Amino acid sequence: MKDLDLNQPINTDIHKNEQIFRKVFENADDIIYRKLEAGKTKNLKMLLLYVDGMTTKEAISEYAIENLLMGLNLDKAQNMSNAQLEQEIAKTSIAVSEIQIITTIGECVDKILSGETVLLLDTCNKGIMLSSRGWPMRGVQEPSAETLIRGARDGFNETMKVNISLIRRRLRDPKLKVKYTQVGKRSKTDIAIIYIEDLVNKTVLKTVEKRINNIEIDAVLESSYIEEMIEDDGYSPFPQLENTERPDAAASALLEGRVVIAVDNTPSVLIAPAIFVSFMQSSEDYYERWLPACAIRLLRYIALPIVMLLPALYVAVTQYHPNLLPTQLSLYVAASRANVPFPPYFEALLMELVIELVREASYRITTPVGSTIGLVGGLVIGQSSVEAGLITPLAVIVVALTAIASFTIPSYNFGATLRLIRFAFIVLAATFGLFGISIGLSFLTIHLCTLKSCGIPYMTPFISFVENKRDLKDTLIRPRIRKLVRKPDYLHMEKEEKKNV
Amino acid sequence: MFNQDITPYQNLSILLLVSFVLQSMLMPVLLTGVDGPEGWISVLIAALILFFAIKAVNKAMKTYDEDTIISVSDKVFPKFISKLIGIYYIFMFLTVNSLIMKDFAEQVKLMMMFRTPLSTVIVAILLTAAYAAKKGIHTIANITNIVLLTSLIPYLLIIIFSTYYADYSNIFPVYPPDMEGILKSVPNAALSFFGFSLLLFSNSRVSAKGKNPKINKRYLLISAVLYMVSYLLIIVKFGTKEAANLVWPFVSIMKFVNIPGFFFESTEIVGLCLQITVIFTSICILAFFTNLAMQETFKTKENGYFIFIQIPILYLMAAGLPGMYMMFPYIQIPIYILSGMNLFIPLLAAYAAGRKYKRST
Amino acid sequence: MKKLTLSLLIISTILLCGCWDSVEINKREYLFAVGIDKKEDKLNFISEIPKINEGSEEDRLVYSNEGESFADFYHLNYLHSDKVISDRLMQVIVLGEDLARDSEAMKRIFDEIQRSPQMNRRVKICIAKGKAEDIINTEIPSSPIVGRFLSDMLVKLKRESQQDVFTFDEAILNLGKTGNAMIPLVEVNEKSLKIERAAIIKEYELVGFLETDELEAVMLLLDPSNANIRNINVETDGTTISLDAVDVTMTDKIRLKGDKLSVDYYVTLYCYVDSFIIGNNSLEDRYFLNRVKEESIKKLSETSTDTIDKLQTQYKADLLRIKDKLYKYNKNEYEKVRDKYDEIFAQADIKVYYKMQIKSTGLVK
Repeated sequence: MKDLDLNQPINTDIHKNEQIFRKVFENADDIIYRKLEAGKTKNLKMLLLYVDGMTTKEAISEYAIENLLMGLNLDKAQNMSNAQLEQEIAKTSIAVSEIQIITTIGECVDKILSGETVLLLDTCNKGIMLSSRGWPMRGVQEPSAETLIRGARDGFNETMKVNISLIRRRLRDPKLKVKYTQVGKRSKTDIAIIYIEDLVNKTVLKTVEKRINNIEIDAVLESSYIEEMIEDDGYSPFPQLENTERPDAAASALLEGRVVIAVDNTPSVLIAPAIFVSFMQSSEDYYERWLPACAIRLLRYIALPIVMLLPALYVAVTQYHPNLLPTQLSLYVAASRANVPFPPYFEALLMELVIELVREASYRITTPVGSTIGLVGGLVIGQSSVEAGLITPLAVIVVALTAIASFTIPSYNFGATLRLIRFAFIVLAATFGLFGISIGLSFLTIHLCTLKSCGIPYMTPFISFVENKRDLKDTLIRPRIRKLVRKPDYLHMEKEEKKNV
Repeated sequence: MFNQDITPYQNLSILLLVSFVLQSMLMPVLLTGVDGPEGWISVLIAALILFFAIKAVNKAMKTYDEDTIISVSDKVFPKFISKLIGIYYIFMFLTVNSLIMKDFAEQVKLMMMFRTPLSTVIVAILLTAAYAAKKGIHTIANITNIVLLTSLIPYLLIIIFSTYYADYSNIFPVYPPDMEGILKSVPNAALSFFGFSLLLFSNSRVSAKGKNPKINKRYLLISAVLYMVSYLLIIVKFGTKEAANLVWPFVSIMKFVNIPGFFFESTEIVGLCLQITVIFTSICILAFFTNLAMQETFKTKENGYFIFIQIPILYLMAAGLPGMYMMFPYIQIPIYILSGMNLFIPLLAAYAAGRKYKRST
Repeated sequence: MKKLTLSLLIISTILLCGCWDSVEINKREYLFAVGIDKKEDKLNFISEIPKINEGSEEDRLVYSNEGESFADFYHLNYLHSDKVISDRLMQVIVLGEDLARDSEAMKRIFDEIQRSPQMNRRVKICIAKGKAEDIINTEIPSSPIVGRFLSDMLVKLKRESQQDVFTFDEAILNLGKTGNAMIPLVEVNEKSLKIERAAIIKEYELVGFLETDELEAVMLLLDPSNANIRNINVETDGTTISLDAVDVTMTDKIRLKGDKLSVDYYVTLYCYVDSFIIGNNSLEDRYFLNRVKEESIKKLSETSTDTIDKLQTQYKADLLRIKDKLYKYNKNEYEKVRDKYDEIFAQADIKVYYKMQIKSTGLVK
């Protein structure tokens, strides 16, 4: 295989072609070689190549082979141009959805490994790709990580074309463009860049395309590979691309002028650019009534500092600034800590670690047993630790509240980041108290203000709240659908479009 | 959006933030300078003087909109004078920065971290600010806007709740005013409008330069209102006599914040936490403009590495300077000098620029 | 590599820092109340510290130590206790009568409190009749922690406008403005404490006391909108009637011409009838009501006149804060007499004119 040049053209001798392919696919027993003699005069040798398990056999056996055997007149196939050959095949009423003429061995290999069937003809240096992709796949199911009370229950699956169709169903706009590309030297994973032509920010689109084209990697097994390779700052704990399993979220992002990247074998899509406020928004905000939706969104923003700072505040207050609490509470906390052997920061770190262990364990264990873990972790460990005098009840409350607050963050990635940062704040609080927390917040602010997502500053629209005051409407609360007339100013839309409800 | 300039309102935020910090630091000087609660008149007079000065400066900036004051002086003055001006601004920014750091570190140490060495607090603030200053004007402008929203505005709103314990009649008597005190305090008030010196540098970095004159005036108006309201808040709470006795009026006033239903008892610590982010932002703004001044004075292409020169200087000055309470008896003359120079240099540069423009046309 | 070195440097700096201020909440002793008495040329500090037992903080410890100042006291306590003393939750400071009569000692104490970054200026303050030690040592069965008891009581009294000053901040502001202040006087009352009277502090020295009705009269003129005039008991036509003034409005006229100060207060009281006699229908008679009003006004006027007289002649203490109003609204004239204001006040012509309206007789006629 080392000496084999895959860019060589298809040989006119079908036996030679077969030899080449057998060499290329040596020890690959799932490649099927089906020899045929076809045509009215039955003297044209043909070879069908496909991967067993990746093709819809019925499409080939019932619709392609039968018609070819009966109706094909390919005596002069060698001298026909691609267009003529396609016409000839079309005359046979071959009922296959897509046909493509291919000319090199490499192209044949790519198509075969993508699940297509390649038809080679004797005395012809062209091959015919017959669309026959069909492999066992999961149906369209409810997204596991983004469940809603009200909203569509279809979610993306591992087949990119199905995912694209789910988006197209929601946006029947001829301006919705889908550009295919392949990434990964060995995996040759299909990637689709989806955007709405007259809404998308051209600079963002160019950036995304350029970065995807510059990816050099052996294989792309999941969209996270793409995400890590095209984001602006790989070292930042904050995600710079959004990741969703919901077609409606993807459609909404497209309408805002963002770019959606669908990756084959991944049941989610990436959305670029993604700013801070994107991770605090959920599709459900737009499906619920306005006032409750605003309240829920505000609740999320209240939960945000709780997730990051509550354990650190507990440590700072109990170790450095007890006078911050009301007098009664200070005395109660002091009394409850009287027999606890561990300092507050150790309590906080220990309980946070236990919560993270319980969380990880619940992800790994199957659903029926998973709820038991929550029960065991929460009740038994927490309660028993308090009764054993290892930690104070207040520490348990603080940590439990933090854990519950973290579930209100819609984006799992973002929530994970906040949970990580929490540990850093606990250490800072243990060292410098509230001053340390303030310094930590300052560093966090600097980092967030430096961060960009495909060139868009991460903290938009807060960083220019006067210029982008219209975008502020959709941050802490959500605007009435009627008032959601403009695409975000930060993406510099050329046109105003009214969303007709 | 993808360039490295700042927007006009980000510029406004920068000017307002730094001015507020200077105003809170120099408030005790204003409170002691006037015998009576008429200090707000000094602020008004200072604002009016600066307003007229701004008009002249705006005119010059129209011609030299890409240039800072140092570049302008380079073009209109002999080299020696422009170098002196550059060195003056570098020295002034460094001094003010180290004073802010020292003053604020003292507050943190006394109110929050009593046993922690002062140098640790100074180093923590300095390193945080230096990290931001190195990132450039765009990042700093972003930080300023965020800090304005999340720290300064809540801080001001919280302070308003101290009026629960206020006696509004403390704003009297207005007549007869202590004219001598009021006029002597005008330079204090003028120096507190530190944004006037900053805009001579920041306006050149604004993307929509046509809006600069409007923004400059708006800055003066908002800053003056903020200054007067803060002054009056302190006066209505403490009265003139007690207010003049305070070293850090804003910290003292935070102790009296009474938000109905709020459960925190030591609200000055909450206020200090908000102030920490405001202070670090203003320090990093000043550090950046010091870098810029150094770049323009020493004619280098980049300015990011100047922060490494600044860090030890700022630390030594902050650690070496006595606290504000020790400096009150000696601070009057330096304030007069700084205030005078801050007004004189831009006006002179504007005048020289105007003459050069007339000659060329 | 550079980033790694820098990160390691920062992390090690953070972790190797001494956490100098880190003291766990249960390792602190919280001073709730401090009493200060004068003991020869030193000060005797008596501190009340609630005991931190799990589930109950009702027990308390009382420490007593001599020292020159609060700092001295804390230092000594530090050497005698396993915990770190903390005054950040201090509720009340009780100054002994002897100490209050020593202006120098009072000035030192007040200066230390206002200078302290830890002590809250909103700490409650009161003067003890006798020794502060007796106040702190009082065992009150219903509320063992004296600091909390006194603090709650002072808040209530201030809210009901029965005391003018209840925090250190108010005391020092009043002393700064006018040189005078009325600080609540706390006394032992069997198995409890009572605050019925006020101590008159002039130039940081205790000069006298105001009785309950005198205090009421002064508070009526200082804070009429919140004034608490309860139980104006008068006898009219052989019957006792009790009135309660629920609303008070007041205007004042202050004139200073040369050395002559004249102040007129016009007070209108809107009263309800609290109690009368069952079976007596005199309340329907407006002439009877007029007589009631006259008697009440007469009684109030007598009390006001006596109180003002006492303030002018005996103490020369302007507790009505007329000086402050002169400074604010009549500065020119005031500046001329600033240095001899006490004499001016002593000879001032201060009159209070009362008007009364009986708005309601309650739920029955």
